[in-house]
Amino acid sequence: MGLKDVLRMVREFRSRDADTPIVLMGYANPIEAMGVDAFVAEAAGAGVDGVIVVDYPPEECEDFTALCAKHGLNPIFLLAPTSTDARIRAVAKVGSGYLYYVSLKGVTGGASIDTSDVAAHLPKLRAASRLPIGVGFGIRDAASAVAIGKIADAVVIGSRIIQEIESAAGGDATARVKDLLRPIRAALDA
Amino acid sequence: MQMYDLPDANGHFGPYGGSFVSETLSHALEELRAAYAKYREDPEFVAEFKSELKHYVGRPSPVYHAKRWSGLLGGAQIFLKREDLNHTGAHKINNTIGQALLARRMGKPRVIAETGAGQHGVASATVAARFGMKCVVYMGSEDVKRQAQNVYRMKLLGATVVPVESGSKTLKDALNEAMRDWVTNVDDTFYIIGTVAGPHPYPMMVRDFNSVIGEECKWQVPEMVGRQPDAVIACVGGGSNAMGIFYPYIPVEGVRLIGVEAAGEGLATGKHAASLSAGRPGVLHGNRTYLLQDENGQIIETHSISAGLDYPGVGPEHAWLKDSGRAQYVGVTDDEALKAFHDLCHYEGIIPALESSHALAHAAKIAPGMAKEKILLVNLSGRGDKDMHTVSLKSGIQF
Repeated sequence: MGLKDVLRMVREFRSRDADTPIVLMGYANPIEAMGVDAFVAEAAGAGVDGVIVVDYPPEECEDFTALCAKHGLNPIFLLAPTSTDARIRAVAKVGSGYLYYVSLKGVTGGASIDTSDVAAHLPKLRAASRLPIGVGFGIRDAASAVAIGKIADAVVIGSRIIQEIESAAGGDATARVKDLLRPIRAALDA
Repeated sequence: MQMYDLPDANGHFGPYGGSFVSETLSHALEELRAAYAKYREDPEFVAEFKSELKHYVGRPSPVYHAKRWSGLLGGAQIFLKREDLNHTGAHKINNTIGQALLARRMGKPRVIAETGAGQHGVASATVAARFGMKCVVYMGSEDVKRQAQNVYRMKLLGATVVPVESGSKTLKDALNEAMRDWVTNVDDTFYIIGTVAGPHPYPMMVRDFNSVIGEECKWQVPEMVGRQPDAVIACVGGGSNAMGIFYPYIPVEGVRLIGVEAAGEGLATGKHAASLSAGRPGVLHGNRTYLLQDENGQIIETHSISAGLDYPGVGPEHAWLKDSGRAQYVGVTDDEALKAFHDLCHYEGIIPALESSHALAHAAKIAPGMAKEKILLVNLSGRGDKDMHTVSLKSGIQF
């Protein structure tokens, strides 16, 4: 499964659903292997809305962010509890779509989230940028989603869903992911 | 040639290098960059580093004229920079001493490291014991098997060795795990990277700490033969021993720099680890450099008889030296390296590391075609005691 297959799946999905936003997340190398120009053009054409390139900090990807702006693609950047004020300003300047605050100092799939830590950091982000803030890393169930949903604009659940897909036997991945997300959605809407 | 002052302030060597990391790491790297910028100019730090290299590592390491072997090859004279005689048996300790001293000044009591052949792990565990630090070493489980003795050595030195089961279970996977640990424990943890790769400032810092190798050669070789060598040859996996010996020679005209990559079973077979010879630029482990990758940008599994060269990337400064033409990069197969290994054992009474045997093999390849007064300086970056198991299996002997 390469990046081209991913874009094909996006096109397929877009033919059935024109509204649900699609954000791709990954590393720089597959994008550079395809060619940054080609990737941005094809992703925008396929109907991708935003791209998170985990190992592209703003200062290393000026060409990429300029291309994204040209094609109407939102480059989404990460911010962490350790991000300095200068860093937050830099990201607020070039990022679009939303700010992605990663709540843990761990990586995706780690332990559970520390809500008070998130609450303490978000005001700084809000002061620097009017973009909505999504919070992720360590949101694994309805309780943690509700807690974060009270202070953030979006909760991001990634590794937990991948876990579900990976451990699914045969064709029941969709069902398992639905089972996982249904109570979370219900709790957030309650 | 013009003055060489790379990398730039952001760690770029031309289009290579840089700092391609997740935001979760950028603060740790900023802190490290600031600390290194401060202490590399600090006379007390420099003096302590030099003192450790002299009294603990045993520097300067000698340069040795391999007269018998050179005579048998019938051409250029081969001189060996004896990094194998360092404490712990390889050049890796130069760098771990430097980084451990830096960790102490930054107030980090825990160090982590990744290792391939185990040499960097041993060198990290050694300095951790020396300075009373906690040490965790990540090592691909495939390498754990290949280098059982080094694993035991690290444990003897008080380190915890964590076998990494992901991917190809070698160095690149160990590096991923170590980065993960660093992200999580950055408050009390210093990540000692063992090669001239990774995000800025690592390629520069590891090069600087190892450049003592070339600095010594620059006065040792003229002391022996009255001039600088015609070529300097070193093996390149990540490329730290090669940068260490190359760097001081970059501005010296008339000295060719030759890096030798692991061609494994042959470049044509695809089973090798020669990223400069057979790869193309991409982004991995925090820097832009030559990588072995498929058309989708996924990293290809590598092969080499020597665990220390078994890495799909290469230090960004080597990528730059290749493109700029200042250094030349060639490949040596497993079999060629093994032959050089045995030849050095037989004719000089020196058991070289399999990594270093790649550099030796290239010297043996070009020496016969050169005049007898030409001089090849080969970095004998490590000793081969750790490779007994691998070499004996190749000869059909099991202990």
